[in-house]
Amino acid sequence: MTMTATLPDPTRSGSTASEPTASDPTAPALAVEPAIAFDAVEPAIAFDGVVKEFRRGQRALDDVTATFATGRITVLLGLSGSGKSTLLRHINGLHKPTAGHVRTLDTQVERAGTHALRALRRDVAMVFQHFNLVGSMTVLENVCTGRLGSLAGPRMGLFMYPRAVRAEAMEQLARVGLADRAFQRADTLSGGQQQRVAIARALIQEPKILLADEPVASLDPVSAASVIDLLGRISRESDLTVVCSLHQVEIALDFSDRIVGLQAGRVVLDQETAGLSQEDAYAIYDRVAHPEGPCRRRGG
Amino acid sequence: MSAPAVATLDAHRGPEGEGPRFAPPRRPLPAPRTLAAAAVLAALFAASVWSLISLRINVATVIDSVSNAAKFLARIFPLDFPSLGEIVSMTGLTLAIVFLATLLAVILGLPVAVLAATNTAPNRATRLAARVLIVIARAIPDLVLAIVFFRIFGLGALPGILAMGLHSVGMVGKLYADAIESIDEGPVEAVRAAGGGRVQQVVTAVIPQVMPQIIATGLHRFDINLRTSVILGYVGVVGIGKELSDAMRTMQYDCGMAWALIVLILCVGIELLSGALRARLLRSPGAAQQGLYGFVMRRMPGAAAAQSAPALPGDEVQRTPDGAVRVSPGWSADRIRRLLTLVVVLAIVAASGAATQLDPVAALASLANLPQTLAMFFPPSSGGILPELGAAMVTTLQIGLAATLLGGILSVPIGVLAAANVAPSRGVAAAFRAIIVGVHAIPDLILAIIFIVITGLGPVAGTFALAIGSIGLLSKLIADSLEETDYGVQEAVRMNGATRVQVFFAATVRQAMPALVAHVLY
Repeated sequence: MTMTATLPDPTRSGSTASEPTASDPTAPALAVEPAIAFDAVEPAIAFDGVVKEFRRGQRALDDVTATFATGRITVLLGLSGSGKSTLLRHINGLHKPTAGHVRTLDTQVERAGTHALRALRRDVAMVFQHFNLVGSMTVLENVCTGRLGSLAGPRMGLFMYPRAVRAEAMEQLARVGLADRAFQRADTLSGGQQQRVAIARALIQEPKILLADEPVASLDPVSAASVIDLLGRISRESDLTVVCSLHQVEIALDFSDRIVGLQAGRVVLDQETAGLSQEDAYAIYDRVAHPEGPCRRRGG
Repeated sequence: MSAPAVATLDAHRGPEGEGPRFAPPRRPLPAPRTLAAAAVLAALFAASVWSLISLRINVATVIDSVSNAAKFLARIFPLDFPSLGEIVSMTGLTLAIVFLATLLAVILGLPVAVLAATNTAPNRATRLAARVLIVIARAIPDLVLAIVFFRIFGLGALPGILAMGLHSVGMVGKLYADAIESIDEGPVEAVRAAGGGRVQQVVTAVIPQVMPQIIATGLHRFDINLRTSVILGYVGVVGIGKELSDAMRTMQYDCGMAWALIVLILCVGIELLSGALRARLLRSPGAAQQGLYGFVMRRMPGAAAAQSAPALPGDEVQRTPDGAVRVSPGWSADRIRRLLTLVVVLAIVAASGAATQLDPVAALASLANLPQTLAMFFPPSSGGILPELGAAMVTTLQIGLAATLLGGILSVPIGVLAAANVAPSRGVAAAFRAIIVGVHAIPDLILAIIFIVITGLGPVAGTFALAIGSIGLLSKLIADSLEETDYGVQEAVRMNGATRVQVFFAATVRQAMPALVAHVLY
């Protein structure tokens, strides 16, 4: 099934569709028609028939066509192994498609060479599930590493970064509420604090796009809520295009402008969050657990 | 879900009061690989026993040597110590040579390791080339390299530094590559995702992660090179080794054994120091500082402030008195320590350079002799002594096998009693750990000299020296392997009412067996 792309509706008045899908005729359709035409706003990211095979015959992404509009928050939902992380990693070229096309900002990712990819990644920051900080380095130095794409030569040690970069890193740490921890080792912080450092590292890039790969999956509920609030606030303040993969449906419904559901590498839901019920969102998971139809236990 | 499981279990039981309805499953045939491994081990064991018999290493030989030992002791006492100035000068020179050799190994080993590690090598060809380089460096003994470098650079410290340094690249590069391959790939991906290049990824995200292993391996290699430097003294590398060799060659056993005692004290001291430093480096972050160092550090200015949560608000940048954003850490105890460490290391490098009187210009000029020197080694020729060479190779192999068997037999009880989870008490484990450190610190050369004097020239002395020498390493590896087993399994067996011996064989040895076999073969 190839999904048509959906652009977000600024009024957040998305509609639900109820036609059966091609892959599972018995299941209720989850797709919606595009709320606005493609040419209304230039999308920040466009996937066109993207296929990704890590091993021959095993598709991590299967004919994905979707666009992600500038300045909106999109959440990817789906089971583990459904292709969320693979999709995210195609946006900044950490993976390249086996077939199809990915365009991020003005870069055709599948054709980009080393220099073009490095240039693209300066504009596309990423936050990871396990924070990906170097535990033995100070918090400030970890944040400074976000600027490596725009600095020449290798850097090891805080004092190898220009003073201006260190000052900017300190500003970003203040933005995420951790300026007081700047000179501590990163591995002395709690999980939630480490993820906030990772967000500061992303922000120092001054990115146009922020990718977040299950940013709260390793956190307790309180830290998760704090990190999601921070991501939402900063994204809106900086008018960032955000693509974030999550497992928590409730958080996704609160946090996002739009939800894209993935199953076995295919897009099965692509809809504005406004008007989307919990049942519709949970159906992404239920169709795997209950092939005969969506689970009726949960209320909308 | 539970009902079918119960039914399945019941199906295997007979009527009440009877045993199981079905016979227990047959033990599966061992896999061909297991059989092959067992056959190889059995063959090695048989060859080792044959070597022991062939070299006439038995109780009678030991008894015969007792009178020699008494005569030897009479000849070495009283020990004839050199002057204090000479001791300090030779010790300084030896340590300088060993330090520079180890530094060379670390400096060369790190890039080789980056090129050899699967996760940092640019491509397969580079990785293969780097791995081959590591194997070659390990395969060529430092003694052979020293002889070659003496031909090129003449007598002095440089041949020793180059020989030990280049040979050490093999071990250092291998261990660094292993450490790099086991890093967390997350930070590397983060730097790549931020647009960082390949070199930036290695320098910023890989090296900081393996820095403790880089320094710990360097310290470990320093230990090994210190022992090696004594052996290289026999081919002319200046320092304590040469003094010892000169004394023994001129049969001044009292003077020679005085130097041997100095070497022993030096090796034990360095072993203890580097062991403590390695333990501190590899300690998990956040663990409390132990010992005198921890006592001093906890009392340094700023130590308490660094440990407690900062009182400043997190959402405001810190500013200096002139209003600029504060971008440097304060002068805490930790920062002072790091700066002092750097200063000390640089001072040691400078002092080592001065002590060894290295002359880079003369060394470069000597390189002009390289083609002539290499021409002397090619084409290789047996020089008409091929039968003798063959016999010597067989004897060497026999010495290796017999020493491994003897060393293994002696190391097992020591290693087992040094393992904290096996020894009857903590005190016993600590005592055997101390024995291991003591034996490990004795250079093989000193042992060889002692056994040559006692048993006379021949393979017996070499076998005994290597067997005793291997106890230090092998029993430590055995103890470590036993301690690294899962305590939970031992606890489970003990809870079933098993005795200490039963727990040892059923749970501890069973888990540690692959590591034990690997260590003995190593």
